[in-house]
Amino acid sequence: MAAAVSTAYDIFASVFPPKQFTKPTPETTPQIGSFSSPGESFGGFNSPHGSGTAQDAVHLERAWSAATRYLSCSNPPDDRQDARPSREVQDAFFLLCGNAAALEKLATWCANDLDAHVRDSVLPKLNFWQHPIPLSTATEAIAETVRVLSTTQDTFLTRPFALSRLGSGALEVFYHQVRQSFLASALHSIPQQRMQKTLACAFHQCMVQSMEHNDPDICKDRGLCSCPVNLGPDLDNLYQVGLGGDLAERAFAHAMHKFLQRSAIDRTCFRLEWGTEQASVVQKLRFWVASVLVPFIENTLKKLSANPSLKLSDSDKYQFQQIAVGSLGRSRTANLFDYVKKWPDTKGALLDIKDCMASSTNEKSYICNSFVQQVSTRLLHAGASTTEILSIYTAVIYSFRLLDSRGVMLEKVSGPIRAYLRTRDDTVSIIAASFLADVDAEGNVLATDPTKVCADITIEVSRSSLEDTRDHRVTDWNDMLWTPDPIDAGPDYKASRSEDVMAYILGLFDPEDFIKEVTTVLAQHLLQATDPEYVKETRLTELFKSRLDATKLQAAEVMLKDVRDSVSLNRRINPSARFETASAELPKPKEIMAAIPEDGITAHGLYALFEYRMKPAQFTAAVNLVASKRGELYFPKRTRLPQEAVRDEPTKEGALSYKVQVLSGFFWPQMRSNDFALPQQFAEMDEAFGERFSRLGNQRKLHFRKALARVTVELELEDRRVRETDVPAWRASVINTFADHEAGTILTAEQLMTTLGMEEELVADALGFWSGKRVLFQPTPGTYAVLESLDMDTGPPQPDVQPQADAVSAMMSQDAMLRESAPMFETFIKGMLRDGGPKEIGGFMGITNMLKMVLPTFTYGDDEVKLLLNEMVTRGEVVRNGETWAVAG
Amino acid sequence: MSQTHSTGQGAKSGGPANAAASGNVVKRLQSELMTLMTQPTAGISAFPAGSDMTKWNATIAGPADTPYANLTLKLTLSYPSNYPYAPPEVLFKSPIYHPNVDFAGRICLDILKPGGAGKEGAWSAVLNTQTVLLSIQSLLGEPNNASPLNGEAALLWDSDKSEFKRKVDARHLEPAEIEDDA
Repeated sequence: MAAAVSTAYDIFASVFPPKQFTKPTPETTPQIGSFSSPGESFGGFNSPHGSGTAQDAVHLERAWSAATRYLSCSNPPDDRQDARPSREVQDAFFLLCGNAAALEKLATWCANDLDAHVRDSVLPKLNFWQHPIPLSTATEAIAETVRVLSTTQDTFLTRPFALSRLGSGALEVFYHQVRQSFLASALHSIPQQRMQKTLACAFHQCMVQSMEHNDPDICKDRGLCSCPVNLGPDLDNLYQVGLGGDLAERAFAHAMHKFLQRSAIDRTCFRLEWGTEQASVVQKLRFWVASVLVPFIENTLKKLSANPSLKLSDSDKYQFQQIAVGSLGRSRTANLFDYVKKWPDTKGALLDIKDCMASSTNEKSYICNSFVQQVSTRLLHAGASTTEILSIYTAVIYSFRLLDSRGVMLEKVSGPIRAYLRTRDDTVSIIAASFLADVDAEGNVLATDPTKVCADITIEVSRSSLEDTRDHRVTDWNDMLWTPDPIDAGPDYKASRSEDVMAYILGLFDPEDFIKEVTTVLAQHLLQATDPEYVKETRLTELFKSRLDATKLQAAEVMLKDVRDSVSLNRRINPSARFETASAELPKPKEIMAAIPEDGITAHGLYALFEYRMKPAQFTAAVNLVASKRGELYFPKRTRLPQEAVRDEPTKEGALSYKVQVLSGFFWPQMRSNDFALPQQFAEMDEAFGERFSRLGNQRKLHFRKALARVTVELELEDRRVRETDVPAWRASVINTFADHEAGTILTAEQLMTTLGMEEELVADALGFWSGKRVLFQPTPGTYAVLESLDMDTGPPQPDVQPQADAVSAMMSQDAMLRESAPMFETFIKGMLRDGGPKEIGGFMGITNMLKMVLPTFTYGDDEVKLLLNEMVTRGEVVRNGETWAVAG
Repeated sequence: MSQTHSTGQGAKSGGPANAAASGNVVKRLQSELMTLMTQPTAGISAFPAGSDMTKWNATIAGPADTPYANLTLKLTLSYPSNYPYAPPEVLFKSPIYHPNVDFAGRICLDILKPGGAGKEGAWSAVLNTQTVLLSIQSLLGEPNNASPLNGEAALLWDSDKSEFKRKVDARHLEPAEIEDDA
């Protein structure tokens, strides 16, 4: 009961100290024998159990007096020698040691005494803690605090320390109590939170500074990083001044966290390795953490907690490695977009990320999300050109296949890019053009217009194989390499073994749209191709056949066959044709090799491609050079052929060279069909060819597309000769008109239009072209004449007019096609509205859909239909009633 | 009567080749439509009714100098999967008073019945939508009163032309009115 009372009293007293501590008792006023109230007059101990007899009380009284006089801080000792307790004091303490209550009392008294002195002399020196400490001075603040505390501690605690040396366990405890109360009263005035933060900051600064002195070259030479870390001397005796323990450990944990997040990772030793020969730095980082950082942490904690037996467990060490690797991964992921963009020079960074991913499971989705966000802010906006996006798309495919070979991550990150690419109008045409662009021996893309061709795709196509890569997994029951889908795969994940970049690019669009666009580009390409065997185009068509639905590529095959047949047709019925070009020569072994498909070909089938050009014996010899025979089929050999000398084609002089390509109109895209008068000679040759063609006895009707013809023009002017190859026929016609007139004739555009029956657009293009070449000049604005000698033109040189793509392209633009077919579409619309009643434009049964269904050539949308309808309304053929349209009358 | 025949024919040529056959039907109909559109015949027009290419709507203008002059008549055509080896099923959608057309719009015309050996009909694969519609148009002016579906009309045609005309007008509805009913 008494104990309980006293405990409650202690608690109360700790909040409201009731006691009035006395000054040390003056030696000269002993009041011996006041039994009535032993110790009361001094306010000393008043425990009723403490004193047995009056004699004991007197002794205690005296001892107390001596002890308090000795311990009092009013006259601090000058040095340690001075602090040595005298015999009397020693005796007094030994006496007090025998009485626990008295000793405790003395400690309390001492604490109170110290408190007063600390308030007077120490706290003013630590006043700067009352204001926030700037980060830059954190280390200094801590150092100053340590300095102040250790000197005052020296001063005030010399005597208790000297006592603890006397060899009594109780006095040692007493010393620690006194020390605790000193530190408590000194540190009590410093805000704990601020102290912890400042301490953390100081730790961090010290660690960073210590790292700065390391020489990364040493690590580089050794291939390992062993840069040491330390805290510096300032923070060594934190524990001694009471700043150790939990507070410091917490602060150190904060500092280490921050250190591992940035400074430890962001160093020369772990810098990203550029170039193609790279490896991940994750191993180096793990080694550094295990061999340098963990021992450092261990030592620091030992110091901070003054516990020399402290040891980090293996799981703690592993944890630190994980944290370091994790923060390396994060810092790499933050720049992932840049790394992907610079692929393959940044393989090292990607390998780092891959290693980091392996160490933590939720890292994957973080990387995906972060990358998607980077892409959407940095790439998927109007400022990026479609070719750029496409080339980054190919880089994304490569990079993420490296990160995750199963393609789950790729599936996730490519979604937004694919969705965005689909919204771009020019994507399909750029891809198609990229497929057909040329690559030279060094891997550079030869493109006429670099903004229309994505070089990465072109290189990819030149690399890709003709293997049939379509997915057979579901039906292939004998597939011993089958694995279940990864657990983190999305619902539209398709497991496929050999999806390459091609597959991803071809998968961007609806195959039908894609084939349509490719056909257009291929047509354009075939018309301009000079290779009489069309090796490249054949290869490409085969490639598409292996990737896409082969039956849908019928048009492409027919087009190829047309141009090939044209070559032999020209030889048979066009006597003026000359074949000095490659077709008359023996095929080079390389050509034969190119013609052998990956899945083999029979000798007969292969020879059919070359029978016009070589004898069977020659052929067999060449084939054996480039192909290996397995069973009945020939396969291409994997060896490289010696480089062949490139021969210049001999230039032709004299008689006109004339070549015709016969195309099957149904399978080719709609082509330019402008009509105009050709130069007399050409027209005669066309006629002659047409006649011979009809004599061949097939049912096909020949229709000359004059606008597609290309001519090599040589002009002999007074002072120079001008030679232009592959000039469209309309330009030749225009310049020929000048030749037909006598020298010096001045013609206007209108005159030319009427003479040649040519459209204004083409006349303007031709005049611009020849003016740009300085063959024509304008004596007065709007009139043209031949510039016979260069000094005749006094006007400023005219800019070389770049022909508009639209005017030159052999294929009709969508708009021109709509214009041309408008009457037919309008007839259909009228029929539909008359027989089917009024209709809306959109919707499943709307005009647009109906037109698409009944008329496969109709490939336009609601906007075009509306345009046509509005034109019909102005002509009074159709009336509009709200959203529905009906036939008039 | 004609219906039973055409079903029989359809069953014979149906089966595995059906899908390919319907593809051919669509192609054939597309080319017929193209011909109809590019070389239109005055007074006749036809167009697919919806997403199904084998169901068409047609419009015939009543021939001048007949009781049907100035009338616009609507028809529906339905092509079997073995078209053109079997005739399309043609019905008048506009109510019409005619000796060879019953009140449900069915038409009695030899070329609309399956032809060939042992068959009474005169359908042949060389016929097409355009010729069918032209035949129906000419049937309006020259009914076959020997085998009428509408006996009263056959009698009136021969006896009282003005009463016939009155009945034609009474029964006729303009396309817009049919739309309203529907």
